Amino acid sequence: MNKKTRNDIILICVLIAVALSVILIAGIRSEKGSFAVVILDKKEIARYSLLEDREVCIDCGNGDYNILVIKDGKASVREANCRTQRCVKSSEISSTLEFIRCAPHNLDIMIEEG
Amino acid sequence: MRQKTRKLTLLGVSAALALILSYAEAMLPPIWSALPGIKIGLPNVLTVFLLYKFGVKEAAAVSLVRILISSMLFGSPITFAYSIAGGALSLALMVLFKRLKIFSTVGVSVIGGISHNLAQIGVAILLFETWQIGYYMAVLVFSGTLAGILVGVLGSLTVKYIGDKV
Repeated sequence: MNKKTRNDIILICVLIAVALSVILIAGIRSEKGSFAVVILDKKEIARYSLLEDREVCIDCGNGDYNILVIKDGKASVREANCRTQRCVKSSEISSTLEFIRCAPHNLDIMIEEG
Repeated sequence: MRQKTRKLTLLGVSAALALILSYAEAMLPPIWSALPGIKIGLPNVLTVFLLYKFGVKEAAAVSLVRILISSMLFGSPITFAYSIAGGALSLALMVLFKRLKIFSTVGVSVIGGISHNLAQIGVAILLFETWQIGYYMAVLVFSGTLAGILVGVLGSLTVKYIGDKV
């Protein structure tokens, strides 16, 4: 095996080891959150408990909306009139490490502990 | 003259191919939708190929054309900011590490993959104060490494098998 290939392998192993350990530590320290926090234009506008199932229509102004669904302790966006629809395609979130972002509406939904 | 025309044509075809690859990749379902930014970066196979076949200027020019056109066609000023930051930093570091001759094509491409992601996190911090940056960074270093391996292997195979034919 030549020297460059060996260096490649060392580089890859170090990077993966460092990244995986940070991910693992973060995963262990993260907790199931208990609130879905709605942030519009970087300001918190509402928070909902994840314990109660509900559906809320978030008014982002100018006729823009996102429908937030909380079900079985998880938050997701069911419907939105944004251009990208990325928030709708995002998976359900329930841990403090995850968030849903709707860039066109400058809306963020994140999870916080109680 | 003939060589020059040939090269120009090849770079044009490369830009078109890079554009198609970035469009094709955008159509794939997101790998992990809760964390945007995890992707393979297929157009970078061409960046690696051009970097090794011709040099910095050619790779940079084709990347710039690809990023400009794909942002205009399928993206927004924000995607442009992300792509240009990622493209510029990753190309700069790939050139540096290629010159240092420590790593082979795969190692250089891994450097490109993670620096691309780190630059994009930098832009994310500037644009929106994102949370859990450390965690996100680790995820993107991980995915950037895997993407870099894939791109590097594809890039070096391309250089090896069609590098002399074009």
